[in-house]
This record gives sequence, C-alpha cells and structure tokens, in this order.
Amino acid sequence: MPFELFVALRYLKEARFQTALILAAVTLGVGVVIFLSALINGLQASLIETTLGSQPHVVMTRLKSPPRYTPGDDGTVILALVAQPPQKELVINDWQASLAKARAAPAVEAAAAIASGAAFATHGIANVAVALRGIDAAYDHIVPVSKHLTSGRFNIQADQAVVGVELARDLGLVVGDKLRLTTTRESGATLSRATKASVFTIAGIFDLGSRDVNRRWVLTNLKAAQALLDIPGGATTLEVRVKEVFGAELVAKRLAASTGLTADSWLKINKQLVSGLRSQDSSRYVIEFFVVIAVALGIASVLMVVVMQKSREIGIMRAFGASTGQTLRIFLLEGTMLGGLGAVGGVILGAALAEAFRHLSRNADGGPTFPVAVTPGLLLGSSLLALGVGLVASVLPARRAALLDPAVAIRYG
Amino acid sequence: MVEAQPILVMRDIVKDYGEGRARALDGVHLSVDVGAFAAIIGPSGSGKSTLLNLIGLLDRPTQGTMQMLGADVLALTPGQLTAFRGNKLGFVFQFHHLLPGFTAVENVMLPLMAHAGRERAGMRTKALETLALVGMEHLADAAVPKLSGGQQQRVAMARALAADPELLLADEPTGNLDTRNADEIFALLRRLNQDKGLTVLVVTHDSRLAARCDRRIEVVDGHVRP
Repeated sequence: MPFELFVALRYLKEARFQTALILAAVTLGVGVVIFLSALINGLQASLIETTLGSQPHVVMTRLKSPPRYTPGDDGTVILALVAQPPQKELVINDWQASLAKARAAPAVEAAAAIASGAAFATHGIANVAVALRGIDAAYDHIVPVSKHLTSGRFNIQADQAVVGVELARDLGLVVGDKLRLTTTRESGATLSRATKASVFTIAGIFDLGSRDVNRRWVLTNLKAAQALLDIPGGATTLEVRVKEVFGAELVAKRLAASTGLTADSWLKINKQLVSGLRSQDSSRYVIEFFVVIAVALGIASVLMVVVMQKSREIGIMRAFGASTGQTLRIFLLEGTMLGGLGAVGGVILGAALAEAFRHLSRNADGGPTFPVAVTPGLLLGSSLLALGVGLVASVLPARRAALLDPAVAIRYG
Repeated sequence: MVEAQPILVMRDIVKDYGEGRARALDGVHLSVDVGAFAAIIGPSGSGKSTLLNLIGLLDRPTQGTMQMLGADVLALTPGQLTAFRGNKLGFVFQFHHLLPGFTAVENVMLPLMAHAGRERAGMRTKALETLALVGMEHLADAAVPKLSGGQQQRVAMARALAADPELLLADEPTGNLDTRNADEIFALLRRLNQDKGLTVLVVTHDSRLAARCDRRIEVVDGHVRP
C-alpha cells in the first residue's frame, strides 16, 4: 500500500467520530441529489411522454401565403390590413420529395405524410365534429397508436378506422361498428358546397392520454382521407419523430431549409411546457448547487481541523523524509475517500428513497403517480460529482498541510 | 594515521527569524567528523534547537555555507533536500512524537514507506529488525499510547534508525525520562555510535550525560564554542 494511502486511511480510522459525521453528511447530500434528480427526471419524462404521446416532434406544413403589400405613389410600401377569411387547408402536392428528404436526415427516426381535415362522424342518431387524419403505416412510429389501443387492432387498411376512447364513448362505438364520415368542401367559383361521405368499420379504439385527441381523432388510411377531403394525392402535413427530443428545434430548422416547408418543433408548439421544464431544471440546479457547497464545506472544515490537529505529526513525517507532494496527497486522498464513501452511501440512500417514494405515491389504479427515474447515468454522475467535490474540498487543507514548516510544526504543533 | 573525514562543515552561519527579530545564530563555524558522538549544550534560548534544525535541514540559514557528506546542501532543491533528509539523517525528539494512531512497527515502517525506491515487501522485516536493535521487537504490534515513556522513546529511536541514516540528531532524547530510562537510552545511543559507527549529535541540558560524550559543542548567545 502506498505511504499516502496508508496514512490517509489510518487518519480516517483514527478520527472515527469525525469521519462518521462527515460521511453521514456526504451520504445525505448525495442521496438528496440523486433522489431529487430522479424525481424531477421522472416527472419531466412523464410530462414529455404524455405530451409527445399524441404529438409528432416536428410538424411540416406548406408556407402560408405571404402578406400582401400595396406600393404607395411615392414608392413607400403600405401594409394592407385584411381580415383573414377562413382558409382551406394548404395542401402539399409534391410531399413525396420532402418526405424522402426528412426520412434521409440522420437525426430523424421516422416521418410520415398526413392528410387531415374536418369531418362529421355519424353513428346511429349521434353525430359529432371530428378531425379526420389519413395516415400510412409509418405513422405508428411517430405516434405509437398501436401501443395505446384499449380494444381492437391498429388497422387502417381499406375502409377501416381507429378512434379515440372519448369519441367511442360519445358515439357509442365498439370495435366492429360502422362509422359514417362526411366532409363538406366549398367550390371557390360558385360558392356551392360539395359533400362527400364514406363509411368505415371501427378496427380499434385508442387512448393517447389527451382528452382532446381521444375525443376528436379518427385515423384511417391516407388514400381514403385524401378522397374524402378532396385533395387527391396531396397531404396537409408531414410529421416527424426525431431521435433526440430536445434536438427537435434544430432538426425542424434544417428540414425547413432543405424542403422549403414550414417546420415547427414540439418545443416551439409547447412553449409553456418547455418553460415549465426549464424552471424545474433551474430549481433543481439551485438546490443541488447549495447541497454541493454544503458537502464541500463540510469536508473542507473536517480536513482543516485534522490538519491543525496533526500539524506536529505532519512535521515529523516531513522530518523523516515525506515530501510536500506526499503530504499533499495524503489529504487529497482523504477528501476523495470521504467523497467516494459518501457517494456509495448516497447512491444507496438515493435509490432507497426513490424506491420508497415509488411505493408510497400511487394512483388509484395502483400504479406509481409518476416514474422516479433512477438511471445508471444519474448514479454514476452523482458519484463522480461527490468524488470531485471531495477532491476539490480537500485542496485547501492539503495545501496548508504541505506548506507547513516542519521545524515550526514539530516545535509548536 | 587516517585523518577523520567531516560529516558536517558549517561556515559563517547566521540565522535571523524575520525582519527586525533577534538573531538566533551569529557566525557559527562548526565541523563534525564521521563517527563523532557529540553533545550540543547551552542555556535555554541560546540557539541549540535552531542549530539542530539547520543541521537537520528542517530550516535554512540566513547566510553561510553548509556541507554535509561532501554535498553543498544549501544548493539542493526542496525535493533533493527531502530525499537527503530521509536517507542520510535520523531524528529523535524530546517527546517521542510517535504517530499515536499507528502501532510501534508501523511507526518504524513509515519512513521506509515514504522513501521511493525501497522494496515494499521487506519493509516490515526491516522495521522489526530495527525494533530488535532497540529491544522493542516484542512490542512491535502494540499501540503507541499503551507503551511506557521509555518504550516510546526506544520506538522513536528505531524510527530514526529505520532508513539507515549516517547522522542521528537527538533533541533532548532523555529530557522526558526518569534517570534509569535516560541512562538506557543514552547507552543505546552510545552503542549505536560504537558498533555501527553512527555519527550522533545530542542536544541536552543534562550535564551528567553531556560529560559522557566524546565532544561538547557549547552554544551561547548564538555563538558556538567548539
């Protein structure tokens, strides 16, 4: 065993009470950091999962018509204020090329074309306004409908459709029932109305965790939707799932640049949620910062006391040939060991607290209120943080020990 | 006749403590031969301990030159100085100054462990041999606080001898012991000097013990009277 480790271990053992106290403090600090992080990570993951459970990460649409400008007589430009009339969905006719570009992007996991529009759903005497969404099979990789089916299958072939649980409840639908969808489109020239209708068989009923989505969405195949919405061969949106959810904004910008379409990320669409998540992160960092400071001060003060108590011994060791470097390393090792041992205790405490919370906080159905995410990365990161804090906190006491004048230390202790 | 080689040569040594403070040593000339057994005597505050700290390379003189074993020790870097101190010098203090959290043998092993290049496997064996030299091998694994004053001082001597030093510096090694223990420790120092040729410099207030040394170096008001 190296000299420095031998002495450092013995000093820790010798000052059992001090060591136990500071270890308890470090353990508590690391445990709190792990528990807090696990709690907030779990909460955020749950919020994001709920939000993105029925949302793509990036939505691409056709650019809206630019504002109209009227040139003035003197060359100035007058912005015409025009009340915007209700608009027909802007159709992307050449969506195949844009979809291919989106699918080829390295940060993109899946992309699909959607034909969507308003429709009336009728079952028996009940009818309700719905959002008709024509999709292809790739859509399930963007919004995993098949994973959230409460009954039936995810089948959108031919005249099959899947609907949300709220809509099924409102219309009294069960799997196998027939649902009539009617769309009305205005003809621009004559202002006459053209009505189209199709009947679909309910193949499945889903619950995507959003009341609005569950009440409004009717999913069927792309071709059927195109026909009903009178946009043959067209799509209204391209929807994308990215590999890294927080990188969605960058992906959106790149896709907008490469396709010429408007691309909005979920981060932009859900600004309030993102702001809330950032506030949570800030709160967590503030709490963790003060915990780290408290742990560092605890380790530093204990080591400083040890250095003062051991001044004469340090002088003696210097006299028999221990170098300043060896003296420095003794106390750096002590700090690091306190951080390391505290990290082990903190990992156990943090994981135990998280587990206890998971059992204590339960929904009516017996499941956890939200998942407490204790990940290997969190445990490793917190442990490394504790080791680092121990090392940094011991620098000052170690320097003080190394710079002791041996003659003075031996004489006056 | 073979002329004795000096182990230590000090010339014009001056030691001041800080600006405007008293001069502890003033123009000290001192030469000590290899194998000498000398007492450094003098009244309290005369500069004995300052002289011993300079010889022990624990402090540096304000001016003057110092040669030890032929080396200009004042020209050594801090690292070289530490190595020199660890390999060539041994220290025994008035209050044994053993590390209380370690056993007797561990205290003796510490200097060996601190020195790079020593074989780790043989450290305990070497420490036990050194403890045997001072008659303490039977208490090798005893905790320091459980040893008597005389036993603690013997262990401190073993620690000083562990690295096979060429010069042993003892600062009042018997000052805290009763007469019987003091005589035993002094006899041990004398035996090491005679049997192993170890050069021994002892700071002492005890005129009875000083009289038994081969040479008395008297320090008075910062001056040395060889």
